[in-house]
Amino acid sequence: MRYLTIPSTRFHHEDVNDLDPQMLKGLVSVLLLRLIAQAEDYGYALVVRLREAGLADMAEGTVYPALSRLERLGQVESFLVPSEKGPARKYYRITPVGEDALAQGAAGWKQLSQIVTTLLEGDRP
Amino acid sequence: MITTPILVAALAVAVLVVLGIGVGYVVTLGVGGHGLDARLRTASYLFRYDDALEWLGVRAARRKAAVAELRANMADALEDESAAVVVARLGDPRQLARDIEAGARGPRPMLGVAVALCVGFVVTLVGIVAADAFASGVAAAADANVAVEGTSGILPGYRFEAETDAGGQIAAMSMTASLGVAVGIPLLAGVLAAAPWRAFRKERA
Repeated sequence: MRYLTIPSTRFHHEDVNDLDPQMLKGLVSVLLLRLIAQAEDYGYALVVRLREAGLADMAEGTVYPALSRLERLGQVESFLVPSEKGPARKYYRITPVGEDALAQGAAGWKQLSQIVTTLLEGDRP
Repeated sequence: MITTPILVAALAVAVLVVLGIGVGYVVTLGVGGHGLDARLRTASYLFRYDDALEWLGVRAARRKAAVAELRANMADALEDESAAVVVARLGDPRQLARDIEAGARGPRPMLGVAVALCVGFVVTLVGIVAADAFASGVAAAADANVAVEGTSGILPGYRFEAETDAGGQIAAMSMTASLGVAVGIPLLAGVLAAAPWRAFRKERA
């Protein structure tokens, strides 16, 4: 079983602060599935990992509902791990359903990003 | 015999007990180890979050787990940022509760009780207004020593009786409420608001 401690809050990548929150919302689920597939983790640590990845404005109020939804869909499952600092933390691990959803989401994103890139970088009439 | 000083002392003890329970609740609910300000801010947020979940009809066990998870996350976030920032990043607790529990809502007993009480109050108020209007009508007729019976168009099943004295003024007034209207309508409204059928519905995504 793998646990991840909270990493440093210093950002190693260029922060992306001006992304449209609505655009991000549609991607949060896939990003969370990816992070959880890499290492089981709990809510706030996942927020920190997203911020470290460059999404500096990623708010807890966006991530926690997405985690709840993933759990309800059976794409992740949770378990409690006692914490020395305070209340037990609720860790999430990906399920086979989540693996499928991640694969579909990643493929969908690649396809969409190619289309968008083609359209945005194409010659203007 | 209970004297005034005993009553005052009992009242003071009651106030202290209530305050003690309140302080104990804040100490228990808030995230500890980060000063009083952080404890109060987190306790306030968690209280409102729990309250919002309850109004949404989230089952007690699930609510308790959701609050515990948020408390643990807030405790870790407080290691990096101030309580004000932590709370701000979470947003409105009612919106967070709605977002987290979207599609996983159970019955809403508290809302049902509130709606039933409100509707019951309105029905009672309308009954009183109707009775007053009826009495005013009887008094306006100024007939002495008569007993008048009547019904209301807006409250089916309600019956009003008024008696006048020798001077034509209302001497006695009574109202018989319809059980179906006085109890049935508020009860029906409360049940509709509480949505008990949600307890049997499978959670959706």
